Amino acid sequence: MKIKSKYSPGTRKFLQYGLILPLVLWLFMFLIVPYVNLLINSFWKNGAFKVEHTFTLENYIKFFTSGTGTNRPVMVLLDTLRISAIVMVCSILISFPIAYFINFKVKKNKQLFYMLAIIPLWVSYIMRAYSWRIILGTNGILNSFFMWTGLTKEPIDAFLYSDVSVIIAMVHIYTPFVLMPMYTAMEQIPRNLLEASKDLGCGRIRTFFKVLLPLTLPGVLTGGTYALALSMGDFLAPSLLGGASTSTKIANIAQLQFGTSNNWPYGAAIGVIIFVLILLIILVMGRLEKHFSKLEPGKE
Amino acid sequence: MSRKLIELKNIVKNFGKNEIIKNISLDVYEGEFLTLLGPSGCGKTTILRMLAGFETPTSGEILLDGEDLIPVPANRRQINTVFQSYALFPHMTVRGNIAYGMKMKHIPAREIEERVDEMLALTQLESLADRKPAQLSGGQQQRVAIARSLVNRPKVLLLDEPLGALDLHLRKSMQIELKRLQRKLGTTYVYVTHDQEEAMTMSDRVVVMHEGRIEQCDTARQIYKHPATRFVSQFLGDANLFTGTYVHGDGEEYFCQDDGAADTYAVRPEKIHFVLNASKGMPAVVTESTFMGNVYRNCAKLESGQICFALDDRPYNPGTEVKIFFAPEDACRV
Amino acid sequence: MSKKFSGSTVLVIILAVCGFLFLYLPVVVVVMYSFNTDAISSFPMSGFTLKWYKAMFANTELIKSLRNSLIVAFIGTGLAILIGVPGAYGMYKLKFPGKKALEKMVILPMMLPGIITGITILSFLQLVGVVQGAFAVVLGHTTFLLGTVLPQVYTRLRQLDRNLLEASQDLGAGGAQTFFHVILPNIKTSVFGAALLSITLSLDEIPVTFFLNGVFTTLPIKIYGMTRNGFTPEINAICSLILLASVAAVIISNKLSAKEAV
Repeated sequence: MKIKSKYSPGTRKFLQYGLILPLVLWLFMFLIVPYVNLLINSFWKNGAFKVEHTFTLENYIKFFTSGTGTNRPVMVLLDTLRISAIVMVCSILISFPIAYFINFKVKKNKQLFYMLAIIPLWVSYIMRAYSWRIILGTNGILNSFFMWTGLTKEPIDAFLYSDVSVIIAMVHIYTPFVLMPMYTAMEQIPRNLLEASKDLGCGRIRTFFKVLLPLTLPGVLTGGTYALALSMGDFLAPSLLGGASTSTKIANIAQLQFGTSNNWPYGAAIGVIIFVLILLIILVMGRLEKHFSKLEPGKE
Repeated sequence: MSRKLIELKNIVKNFGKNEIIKNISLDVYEGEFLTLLGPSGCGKTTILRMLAGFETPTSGEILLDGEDLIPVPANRRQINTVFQSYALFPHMTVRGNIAYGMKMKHIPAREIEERVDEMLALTQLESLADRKPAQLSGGQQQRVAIARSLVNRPKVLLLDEPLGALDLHLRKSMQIELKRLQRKLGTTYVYVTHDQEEAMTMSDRVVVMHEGRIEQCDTARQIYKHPATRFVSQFLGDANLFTGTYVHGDGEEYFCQDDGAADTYAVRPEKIHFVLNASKGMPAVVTESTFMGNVYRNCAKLESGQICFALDDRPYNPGTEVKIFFAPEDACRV
Repeated sequence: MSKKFSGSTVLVIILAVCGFLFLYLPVVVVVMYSFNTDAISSFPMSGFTLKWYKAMFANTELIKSLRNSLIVAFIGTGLAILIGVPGAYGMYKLKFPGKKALEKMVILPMMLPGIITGITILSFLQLVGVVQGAFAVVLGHTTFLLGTVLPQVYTRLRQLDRNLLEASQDLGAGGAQTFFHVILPNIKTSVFGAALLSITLSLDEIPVTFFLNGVFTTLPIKIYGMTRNGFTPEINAICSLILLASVAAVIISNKLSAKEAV
């Protein structure tokens, strides 16, 4: 009796690749093509009644030359970068003690504490942004608290609708993104490494700087990149919490082009610029992270 | 004389630029217990995987019962594998695991139940039938893996170092168990291991492999007594290799070491004799004497610097001067 | 060596506690003030009431937007699983060039801010003639939900015994049989956990939805509109309930993944 396969080897191979076909197709259609399309769009002309498919650089020129003073898109971009960098640093500073605490000072129920720290991430985004509004507002919790305790007589307007409120809200929103990779990185440091270091005579502080910090760095970089990249493109928090000038981040400008300003090619150009910038940030951070990862003992 | 069940003809297997199997031809006879023996990386597992259908030879033929086996996909071959990691399905009970093969081939439920019960009895797993693999010990998991394969009545059972993870005592009893099953069911076994003692005790024939080639293929005893190559003799235990010639003197033949001589002889440790106060023989100084449980392993350093291993029922004090003797019939030219 | 009360430990504890307080302050505030009688959230609370919750349930627009969100979440997650699980399995089983690139591409929408995904898909859909609306939103959500489903399932697959697939084949199972009888049972809790996570993410999503929805309102978009208009504690009530649901979902998802990891 001859043993035969149900399908020829060729058909079988084809069927197997069918597993990844939908995935590849979907990504092609909804990721690759749209990105390429955006790029192409950014070189089109925004005509009076409709978009004209003629090649032009005017959108990019507009980006780099239009506006005055701080309204210039380039300045807005730099300002957004500045704010995002502050958000990233603050997020790291807040996350670090928490991650360190759970990892090294908590003996039982580490998982529970970790979940507690992460739960704010799973609270609705809109809720987190909105909540700072009611806290920082003129009649909000903070002001009324100060007045109730007698610290101030009048409400302080400056809390809300300023750089500070946007930063505070974004730090709150993006801290969990930093906390997670940082915690994971710390968790993976072999405990006996720290013991050994102290054993060899390094004081606690030196161990901290020479051993703990470098090993946590990859996690910090990952989380920081995440926070930086995502906050750069955030247009919701700024519009809810920002003042007249600070409510306009680069993402807001982009968003307007697809709405009231109705200049899709220009919006596409801004989109491309943001995309490229963030991609660069991710690549650079990725390189840095790889460099620091090489210091990990397990990888040598 | 049983017939040839599997024929491997001029098998070559390359992984990218690496020649893993250089050119192998081998016949497996029906009903035999054949072991592929060799160090890690010699290609023995690759051969097994080609028989199972998980790898395809770069060139060469594999015949099963005279039919071309290569185009047949793994799931349609009447060959089953016992994996080194057992690969039991964690979400199924022992019974479920054993029944799996038959279920996939749509064998009627009643027959499945009968055969599973039969196999459970045969491998003494009845009391564990409803447990999941995580609730079993290593040895029990091992038996389930074997039962799961054998219940399908394969023409050939492939075993990939199945006893590696077990402790010594368990390994010994499993070796007996495997042999018993093989005898009872008459299944052809192709067994892979790097443990030469295991190979020797269980197999009908042993194929010694090294770097993708077959060094020797014969019964265990023949390989042991008459190793065909230097590698084989060294791989199978502490073989002593002496280069030199036999010299006549005083009515006896004794061995004289000579690096320039044409012949090298392999002598088993248990055939080496240390003799005190002898005039002839190779001079040596005892370096070590270790108790092995039932024998002593004595090492002595010859004038040439070579260390010589002997098994004896008595120890020797390090530093003792001895002469090394062995009978010509115990020396095998390699 | 008693380090328990050393200076640095105390410092760490203080900083960590401050951090926790910062993270939880808004959460606590929003929940507390959902019960406040006063419409304006001032300190101290003026009284306790359930009227905002009642108002919330009576708000038909709100309920409708919740329904819309759930539809999108379930369809989006469903698609992400139908595409992502076989995709992960294919990546696990097959050898092909560009696997790493594929992995990175799938999570790209998660790494980039939603606005990028939003405007790129919007422009593309405009090109092919798909209007903004429910369909567009589902397409957008599915795209980034793949970045949740695929990595999780792929990671789980790689935890499985390498030989399970081969053992199944060896015993006579065909490709589909192997998938349904051996692979799926061993990844099902990861798939479920990823699904739960996806639903949660989809329900909370704003930026991508913002560009694709037209007049099709989802819950977070509706809330966003409400926040721009004023301060009703009705918003607090909604957010508190969302909080409850999200937390429950994540805890369940986590417990399932942990239980399955062998």
